[in-house]
Amino acid sequence: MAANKSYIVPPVDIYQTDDDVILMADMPGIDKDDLSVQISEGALTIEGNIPPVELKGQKYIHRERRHGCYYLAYTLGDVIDPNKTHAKVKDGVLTLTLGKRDKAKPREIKIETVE
Amino acid sequence: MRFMNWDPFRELEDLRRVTDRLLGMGARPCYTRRLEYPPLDVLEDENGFVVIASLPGMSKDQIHISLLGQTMTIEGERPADNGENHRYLRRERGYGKFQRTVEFQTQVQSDKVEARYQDGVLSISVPKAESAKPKQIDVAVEE
Repeated sequence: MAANKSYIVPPVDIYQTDDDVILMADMPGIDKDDLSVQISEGALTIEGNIPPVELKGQKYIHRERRHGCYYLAYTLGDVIDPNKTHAKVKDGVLTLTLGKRDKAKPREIKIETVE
Repeated sequence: MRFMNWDPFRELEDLRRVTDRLLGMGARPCYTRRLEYPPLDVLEDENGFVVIASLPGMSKDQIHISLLGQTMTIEGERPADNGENHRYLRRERGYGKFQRTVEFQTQVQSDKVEARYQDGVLSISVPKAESAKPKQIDVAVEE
């Protein structure tokens, strides 16, 4: 990650279910081929590139949208099993499903009644 | 070009700030949402305008575009996730109703507006009315 580059940090939702941790990131304009998701030694890195709008002789008269490189990094800890992870992109939203290790899943403990 | 906004996200942000102040948590690092949603780009050439909006995670039928005279309105609602067993650790992606209005400086052809939604980006092309397009006028020079 070059120091002189500015990155866009997308807004994310992160939630847990019993089996998974799910991360959703808004990355409007992202194409699957311009996105990389990596897990290495407990660190999750998401990088993506949004190319600028192709101008066909037009001029910008108003500009709010950003383009460039998306970057997100998280430390996962030992709760996540990297082999139980999958990612999909739809309508500019990345959904990353990170499977929990069995030991990290909640276990229902039966309560016995003593008679 | 003039934009008019009604922004539910800003109202939520304001509410959160007020609540934080009341609870004395004002010092915690806060996430500031963009003030207007969705963010828009507007391009122009002599034939018309292209309005581009970043609207990730929508379906076509959740976005409504209307044009009245020279004023175009983009509105819709981004549904909230209501998963029963979802325990949230972080929630930054906005949801709820949004509306933005663009006022064009020239007359436009409302019957020739075309919209396309791809990869979470909405592109609307709005052609200018013939009367608003620049015309080349030959100047006869008498010698």
